[in-house]
Amino acid sequence: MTLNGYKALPLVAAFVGFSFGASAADLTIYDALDFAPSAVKAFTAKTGVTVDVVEPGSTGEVLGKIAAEGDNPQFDIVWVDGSAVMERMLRDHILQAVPEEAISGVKYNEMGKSLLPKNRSFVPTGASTTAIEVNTKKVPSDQTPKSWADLEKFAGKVAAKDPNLSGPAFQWLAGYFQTNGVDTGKALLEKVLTNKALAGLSSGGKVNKAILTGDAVVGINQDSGIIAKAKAGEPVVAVYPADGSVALPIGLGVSAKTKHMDAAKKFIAFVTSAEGQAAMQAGDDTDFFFMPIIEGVKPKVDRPSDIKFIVLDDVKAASGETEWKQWYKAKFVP
Amino acid sequence: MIHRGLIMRFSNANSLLSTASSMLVYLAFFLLIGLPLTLVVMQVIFPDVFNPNNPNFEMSFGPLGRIFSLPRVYLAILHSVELASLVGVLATILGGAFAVIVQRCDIPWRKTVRIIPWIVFLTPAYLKTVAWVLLMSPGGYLAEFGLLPPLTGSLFFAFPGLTLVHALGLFPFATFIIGNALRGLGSEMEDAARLGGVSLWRIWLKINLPLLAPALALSFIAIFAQVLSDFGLASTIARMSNFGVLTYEIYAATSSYPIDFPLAGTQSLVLLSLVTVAVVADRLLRRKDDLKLISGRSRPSRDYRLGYWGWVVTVMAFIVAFIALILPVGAVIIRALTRTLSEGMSLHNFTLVNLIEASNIHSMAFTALSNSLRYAVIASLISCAAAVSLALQLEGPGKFMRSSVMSLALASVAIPGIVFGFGYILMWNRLPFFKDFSFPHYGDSSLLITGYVGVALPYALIVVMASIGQLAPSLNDSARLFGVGGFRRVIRITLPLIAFSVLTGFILNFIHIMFELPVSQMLIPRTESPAPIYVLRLLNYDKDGLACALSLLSMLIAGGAALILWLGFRWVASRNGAANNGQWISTPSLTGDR
Amino acid sequence: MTAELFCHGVTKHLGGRPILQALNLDVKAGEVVSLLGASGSGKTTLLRCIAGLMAPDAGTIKLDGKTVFGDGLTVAAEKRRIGMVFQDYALWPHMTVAGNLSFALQSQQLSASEIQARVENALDLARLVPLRNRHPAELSGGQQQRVAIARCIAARPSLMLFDEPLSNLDAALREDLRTEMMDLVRHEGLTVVYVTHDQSEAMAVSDRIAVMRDGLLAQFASPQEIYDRPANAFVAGFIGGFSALPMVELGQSEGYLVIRPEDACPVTDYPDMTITGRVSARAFQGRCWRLTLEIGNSRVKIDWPNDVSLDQSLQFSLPPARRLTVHH
Repeated sequence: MTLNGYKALPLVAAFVGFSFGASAADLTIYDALDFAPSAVKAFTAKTGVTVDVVEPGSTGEVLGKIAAEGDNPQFDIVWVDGSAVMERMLRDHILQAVPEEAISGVKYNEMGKSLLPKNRSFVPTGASTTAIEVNTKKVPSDQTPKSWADLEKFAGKVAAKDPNLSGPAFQWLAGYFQTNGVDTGKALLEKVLTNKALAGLSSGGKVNKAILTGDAVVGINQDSGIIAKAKAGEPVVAVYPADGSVALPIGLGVSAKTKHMDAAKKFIAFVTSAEGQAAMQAGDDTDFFFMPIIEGVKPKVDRPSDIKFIVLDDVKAASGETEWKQWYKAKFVP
Repeated sequence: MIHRGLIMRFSNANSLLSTASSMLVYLAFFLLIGLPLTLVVMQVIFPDVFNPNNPNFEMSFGPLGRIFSLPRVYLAILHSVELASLVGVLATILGGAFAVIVQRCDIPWRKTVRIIPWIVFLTPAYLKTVAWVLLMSPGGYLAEFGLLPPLTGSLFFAFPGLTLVHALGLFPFATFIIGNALRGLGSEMEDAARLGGVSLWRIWLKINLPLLAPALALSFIAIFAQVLSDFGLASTIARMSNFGVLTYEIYAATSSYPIDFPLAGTQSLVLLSLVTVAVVADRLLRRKDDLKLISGRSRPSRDYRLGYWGWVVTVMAFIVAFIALILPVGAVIIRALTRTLSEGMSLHNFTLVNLIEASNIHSMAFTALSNSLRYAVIASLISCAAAVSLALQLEGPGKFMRSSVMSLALASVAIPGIVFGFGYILMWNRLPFFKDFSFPHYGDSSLLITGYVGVALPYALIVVMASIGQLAPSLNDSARLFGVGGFRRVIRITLPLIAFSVLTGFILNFIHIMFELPVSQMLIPRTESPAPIYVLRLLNYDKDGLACALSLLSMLIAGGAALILWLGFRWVASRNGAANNGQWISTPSLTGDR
Repeated sequence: MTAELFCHGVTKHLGGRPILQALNLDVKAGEVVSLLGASGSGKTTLLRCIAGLMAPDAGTIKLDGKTVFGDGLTVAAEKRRIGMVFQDYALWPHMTVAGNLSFALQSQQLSASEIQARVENALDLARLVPLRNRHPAELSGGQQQRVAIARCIAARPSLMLFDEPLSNLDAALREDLRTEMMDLVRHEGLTVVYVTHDQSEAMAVSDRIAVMRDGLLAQFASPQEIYDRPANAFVAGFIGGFSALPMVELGQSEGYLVIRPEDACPVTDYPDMTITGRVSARAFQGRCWRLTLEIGNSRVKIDWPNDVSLDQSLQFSLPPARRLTVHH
């Protein structure tokens, strides 16, 4: 009945057989952006600084990992879509304010300047906005929706992301409430998102899929994603609604406990330079089609010049967040 | 002749060593599963313990109160239990039917039918999700064939469809557990009853099913737990009906910054409790001791002659295979071979581009795949060794310990992987003693592998414990009396008799780890990222084609590895001259207890 | 190779109930002792305590004068050199017959050639040579039992324990196998403790029988002794169809009359005693009829040369030498 210590042997032996991880590079980046590997490759080629690119998944997963790491962050740079989360990370001392000199040297255009955070919680490197995704095969051109309110015509066939699961979706919702007023906005949405199967999707990819398979004919999605699909030959088009949409910056933040500030500064300088921005556009996935916010950088695909952008009041958005998210969950998610 | 004192000291040292090694095994279990889970769950009552700004041990019952004040939550609990119970029953019946058919009936195409559960098993859940959406959407493949009436489509993306997809995916687990028990069930009692004029149905009802009751119960609970932890299938397939499940709250709580750990912890507690209730209910309903079915008195069982009915059975099995396997895998293959989604199956849409890229050795896809293969092999080996060690260890202490460990293993199956992932980060990056460990270390593949072992271990444990539980204790006792020491008994007697189950456990783990997503995401190493993350990215950015191609390749490799292992196993067994593929069929021992 | 066994004050509680209560047992070298009793009487528990598979709560067990349990000392089961034939035979299903035998010897510090020789010898003795390469699943019950015994004997234990080895076999097979088994055992001169619930089996194989009841020894004596002079009503009732008739039925105040079925004779033979009963059941046994008589509130079984119809009244008597009275 009593076995001797031999039993422990398999455990010990197995433990020893682990494969070791490689030693850390000069810089560690957590990101959820398609162009990061491309940008990093160009960066390393130019400066010789080695970088570990860690991409756990979408923005949610990156944030989750950072949240769990808490006061012992293991990254130097975080680079994701979104601004509000950066503010919060700064408040929790996970990020530190980006050094003044790193930002002051960048030549931002109008849009870029409007996206600069006052407390330097992040460096904006590009932007995207939310647009209406229209399936051109299912919707004749004369019936294309021109504003958010027009979506009511397509009630039951509108795909949208769940702001509980997607940061950009929440920022869109906050912007929507900012322009329309909270109560009017809520009433409008309730008339539009009448199909719960489509109203609470967890990612832009799912919105795309819903529209392409015919479950939905229109959707609310990130414009760079729509443009990427259109470029790849899918029958979708991005419509920028007249009532305007929130511009979402792509933010790069610096960890409060980084030991590689010099390398980080070099990286920031690179990705805000023409060379870096070119590397960030050298691909076909969603994020490569971002809106440039730096002078002299052309977008990969031109967008209409008359898009109306809304700058989000982050404070108001933060204060309404819990209640709005709950409301959305209760109304639109099964 | 030996001084009495020396004997005492010797036996004391021996028992000290054995106690130490027992402690080591329990400690490993605690560190791999218990502690990470505790760190998440404790935040239910101590919400600020991991607060980056001001960590403290202030107690608060706010989160608990919050969760139970929402009617939505009660509904979600109800839905989750409903779904998990129904799937548990269906999958157990289906899986059991397969086990009986293959082991006891002389059906045509028996060998082919035997493989069906294994292949279903090899197909990862997320792939099935993709496949069913491809098939059943209004614009999907079945609609293209004109095979999809509108009603079916909308019925599918609701509770019935979700139940079907779950049951068809999980029944292999039941087949393995019940099949294992069935192997030990001989024909003697049946024959006795037949001679007494009892009909076959009554025999099964009154004799065989009660004997198989432990295996049936275990199947049900294990599958119940697995369905509880699912979010992916539910969020994709159950969207059309008002069918929210509990795991949604966990994903909602963990999708932004800051993470609502207390909420995630509360939800996990609820899931844990549900499984514990199921286990306790089982214990109370089935008070009898689990019979030891593999003993030293071996008599083979005889096949049922079905005649023409055999064909009916085989056809039905193939229909199940069609729906559970051929349809979804077919959809995946088609998608892998086509360029875009919107053009469906039009001829010019077909291309080999995806397959070429997936198998290109220099591509990122292939690198990710080979990383995952390596991790899966190492982690599965460790997990199986740990499972066997722990299961053997538990043969001593007694029924209560065994029940508890089995219950813990089942309960941890109910925890979604993402919670485990968080637990591991909290443990190995925040806890004072562990964060300074250099091996395993957070950020390295060593911790990823540790995390894999943690999530895979419960499954291996369930399979191995169920199988060791079948062995009659007299087999070990008699060896002891012949002077055979502990280690030798394990190697020469126990392991050979449970070898097939250990192999099953290994393959189970291997496949689970190859396709395990949340843990891969949370514990992603700085370099050498595993495949599931890459596949997810492809799926998210709508590169379904390449994602499907890569998944198919993974499945082929995993399947190929499983096949090689199984053939190797058979070869070794036949070298030892064992009858019947190394599966020793025996009759129940009548004096099962110790 | 043979050893004497000495058990003193062996006590064991399981699940709160007393299974063995300060039991004493001693077995001389080369002796065959049966533990006879109903299920739950503690016989298997005692056997397992002797083997070392279970530890008693108190008491001493000595093998050949050396303490294997007691005084704070416990010798592990692996070291006691005891052989045991289990009720389910415990043959290792994944090994052949020869494999079972040789594996059993491999932990005994014997040379390979010695192991080989013993295996051949055992196979020969148990007439298992043509079956040597079969697996247990391919053997009949009787053959499996022979392998179990051969396996034990090959290891040359100092003490052999049998746990109801014949109970799973057909009745027809039982007697032949029993003879064969005991021939082997006697041939090797082994000390044996044999557990059974079948009293005729116990009578047939043993030098002495220990009748157990609720963890205590009711009587420990040779079969002849138990047959002639059962110690009390319980033992009497246990042995060979004996009936213990309460004396109150015969007008006395206490005690029991032990009636052996074969002792019943016509009243005319011994007119000084007359017992009257009513036939309630009858069974033909070849040599005679076994009748069940109801006497007052009790039942008695007797063998009668001729048939008697049901509900008939019958009188019989007992020879003076066979009128044994016992208490309780």
